[in-house]
This record gives sequence, structure tokens and C-alpha cells, in this order.
Amino acid sequence: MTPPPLPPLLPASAGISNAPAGNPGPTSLGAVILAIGSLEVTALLRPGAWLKFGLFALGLIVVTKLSVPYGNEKMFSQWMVDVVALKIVPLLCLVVGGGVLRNQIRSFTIEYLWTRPARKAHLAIAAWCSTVSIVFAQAIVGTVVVHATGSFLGVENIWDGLPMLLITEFVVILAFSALSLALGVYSGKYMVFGLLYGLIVESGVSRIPTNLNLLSVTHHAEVLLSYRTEDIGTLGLMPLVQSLVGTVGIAAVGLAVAAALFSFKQYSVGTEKES
Amino acid sequence: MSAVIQAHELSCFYGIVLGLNNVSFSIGSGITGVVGPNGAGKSTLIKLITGQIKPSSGTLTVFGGTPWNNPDVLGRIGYCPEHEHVHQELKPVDWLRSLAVLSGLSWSESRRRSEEVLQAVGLQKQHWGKRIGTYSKGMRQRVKLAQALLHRPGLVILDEPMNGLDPMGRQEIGDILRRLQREGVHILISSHILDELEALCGRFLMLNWGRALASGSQTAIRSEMTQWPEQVVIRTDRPEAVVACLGAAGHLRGYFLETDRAIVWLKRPELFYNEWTTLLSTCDAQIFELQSKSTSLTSVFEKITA
Repeated sequence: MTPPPLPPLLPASAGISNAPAGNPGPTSLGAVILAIGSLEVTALLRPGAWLKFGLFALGLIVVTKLSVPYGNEKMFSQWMVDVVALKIVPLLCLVVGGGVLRNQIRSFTIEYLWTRPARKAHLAIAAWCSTVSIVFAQAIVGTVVVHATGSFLGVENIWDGLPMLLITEFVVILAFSALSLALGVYSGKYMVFGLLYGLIVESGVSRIPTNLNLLSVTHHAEVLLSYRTEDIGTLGLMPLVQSLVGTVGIAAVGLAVAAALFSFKQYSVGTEKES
Repeated sequence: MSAVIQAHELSCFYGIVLGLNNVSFSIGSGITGVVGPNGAGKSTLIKLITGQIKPSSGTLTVFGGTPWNNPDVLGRIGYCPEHEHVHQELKPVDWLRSLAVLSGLSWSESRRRSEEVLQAVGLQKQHWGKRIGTYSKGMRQRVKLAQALLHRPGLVILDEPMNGLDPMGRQEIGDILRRLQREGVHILISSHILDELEALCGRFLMLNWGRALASGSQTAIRSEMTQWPEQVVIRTDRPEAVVACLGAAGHLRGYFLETDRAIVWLKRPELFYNEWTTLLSTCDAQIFELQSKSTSLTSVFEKITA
């Protein structure tokens, strides 16, 4: 009599091969950006994140209503530019950009990322791309919400400067996200360092009437924002180009520092002790 | 035996804190267990092999290359960490897809492969739609193992993979690892559950205080320790009579009595094994079983670290 056949070892996994695939080589930068982006975006789509986002927008509406008297264009402009675009958006960059890798180092989840065949510099660039996307999405919603509230409050010609404002916010986010990422990969105390940097460079150096203020993102942003109300013919093209190049240059330097630090610094995962 | 992992005078220090101290070893194919108490240097070794930190001195090669900042080597390693931290808010397929793309798989291929590895680790399909944060410890352990297999690595490193698993779960993970071994995957396991390691691993690396105390098969490690006395468990109806008998014959180095057995430590094992049948037949006791405990992984480890 023939004995009955033995059952397979793992019926559910029959036909699945895990045999080694050889050496695939480093993952491309595009794939790393896609992977990190999909992780961050999927995490953002959870209900809790939507609730926070909704509360943020609601808070902006309430504060705009309290800050801007009915029909007061100057007060609206000060609130929108000086506070929202040049204070709240950079703070968002600091929170999101500083924490994007640092929080993963603190929570051990970084081990799933940097043990993959991706260059650490590419991981840092991908983290920056995801920060820029997240903060810019928040900035668009926030800016539109503030403008809609201003329109409701009777401020005239409110939508005319919106395109230039959004362009300025985008380049500001490029630069501040890169600087925040660099601070985040350098130290767990990135919030403290970021606020100090803001006080010294963005609020201090940007006010010095020399070429030193070219180091400040805020100075470049103020130049760009002046094109909201004046046309290029009046102000000339050169300051616009200079500020765009200056902001993108600061972003590039910040990103290069972040990528180099993340590549060569050794981290003690789960604690703040580093070597 | 061709070496998958090779270390030569490898040291790693965290400031003044010792991680590994001048360690040399070679790990070949198959399933290898890394054994050592807390602080032995197991985690440091795993972090070095997975390229998370770089050696302070000495060399470490995996598949012939240094792992630190080397995607070519990391592409051939799958790593399942000890900690419980995962992206709690994500569903397993979403998480695995991202990690698969990060490992070099295309976006379209990543979904198929993620589902394959979830099947391979025995996570039932009905749980795939839930967020990982809602999973039991055992289910998370399976997802963690699944992510290590995504890119079909040649070497899988598992840090305490049996933590949180019930006996059935341990058995299933053990089966998965044996199946991987049959498919040509080399496996390195660090675990405190020595009985599980003993059943799984063909070779061991024993660490203590940052040093490699022994490496090789369990029998080979044991054979190097003939100077130590054997521990023998004798199941009997009169343990005290057996101990008295062995003591009178001059074999006892120490003993421990239980109601149905005597655990004895021998002065000269080779003499005892020459005469144990004659000797025990003269004792006024019924002998049901005699078992040498000194060859178990736990005993070997206890002796080496003593």
C-alpha cells in the first residue's frame, strides 16, 4: 500500500520563492522619493491627521477674524505676509522638516529605512521632498483659507497678489525645509536650534542693511513679496532673479549639509546619545 | 565553508562604553545563532553587520564587502529588528510596498511581492486590511519578518524573532526559517530563548562582555570544554541514596536534590562514564533515567560565560 503524501510545510506559501535574488545594486533616487513619499502620504491620510489639519484651518479662520478689522487691507496684508507667510510657514517647516528623520531615529523606525539598499543621502533628499510637499499643501490650504476669510471681512483686491504669494511661500518652504532637515539630522534639539537661528539670522541679520542680509531667507522672501503689489516693470527683473537664486541656493546648501550629516554621522537609535 | 560574514579584530566602542572588543570570527552558510547575555555585544554586532554603525577598528565583511554606507551589501541583507516599533497607522501592505520600492522593486511589483511575503510568514489575509497598530505582538512579529524578506535577501538577520510568540507561533517561524534555509538563504539569529536556537541552528557564535568566546557547531564548542565537569540528571525513586552512593565513590563535585531526581556535578566525568552502570547498580535505589545536561546549549553557554 502506498503511504499518503506528506502535507506541504506551509500550505499558504506554496509556490512563493524567497530564494536570494543576487545583487540588485543601489535603489535609484526616484524610487527612494516615491517610497518615502508614499509612506508619509499614507500616514497623513489617517483620520487623526485630517482632524489636526481641520483644526489648524479653523484656528487660522478664527485668528484672522480677530486680527483683521473689517475692510482693512493694510492689516490683512501684515497678518498674511508678516505672520502667516514669514512666521507660521517657517515654523511648520521646522516642525515637519526637523522631525521627518529625527522622529524616526527616536522611534526606531529608521532601522527599516537605512538598512535598505538606498544611499543615506538619497533618504535625506526624499525626506526633504516629502517635507516640502506636506508643508506646501498645508500652506496652500492655509493661505486660501486666510484669503477667503479676508474676502468675507470686506478686504478689497485680495486675490490679486495670491499667485506671487504662493510662489514666494514655495521657495521659502524649499529653503526652510532644507535648513530644518539639517538641524534635525544634526541634533534632537532641532527646535531650540531652529528658534535661535530664526532670532539671530532671520530676525536679526535680515534687518542689517548690508549684503549680509543675503544670507537670510526672510530678506529674499520680502523682496519677492514686493512683487505682489508692484509689477516687474517698476521694480526690475534683477532683484526678483537674485532673490529666487538666493533662496534656492540656501535650500541647496541646507540640503547638502543634511545629506552629508545623515550619511556620515552615527546615531544611537531610540535615544538622543550620538557619537 | 565559504564565509558569509567575516570579522577580523573587530572592535566597536560607544565613546568609552565597550560594544565589541577585538573580535574575530567567521560565519558560514545555514542558520547561525548568536548567543550571549545582555550587554554581550549581540546588538552591536547586528548593527555593524546591517551597516547602521561602523567599526571603531578592525574589519567586517559581509558577502565580501563592508556594510557601512554600502547599498550593494545592504541589498543582500534582510533585517528584522528586536524592537516593537512599526508604523502603527499603516496597513501592512501599504508599509511593505513602500519598503519594497525602497529595496529596488518597481511600484507595480511591490504589491505582488508584499502580498507574497505576508502569505509566506502566515499572516492571514483577513488581517491585511487592519492597521498594524491594532495587531497582536505575534502578528507584528510576522509583519516584521515579512519586511525582511521583501527583496529576496541572501542573508536574513533576526534579532530576538521569537519574542512575544506563543509555542505554535515559534514553531511556525521556525518552519519558515528552515524553509528559507532550504531555498539558499543564510540566517543569523540572536535570541535569549536558547532551546529554540538549539533546535534551529547548526552553528553558534557565543559572545560575552564584547568578546567572542566560542564559535562553531554545538558539538565542536562542547568538545573544546573537556576540562569542565559534567552535569548529570538522574531520575530515581531515592535521589538521596544515589547522591550518597556517588559521594562515597568520590565522583561528586556538587549536587541538588528534587523529589524524583538528583542533579549532580561530576569531578571527573571520564571516570564516571567508565563505571556508571556498575556504580549505580550498587546504589539502593531504582534508576529510571540518566541524562547528561552538559551538552545542551544552555549548559554550554552557562559554562562558557561562568
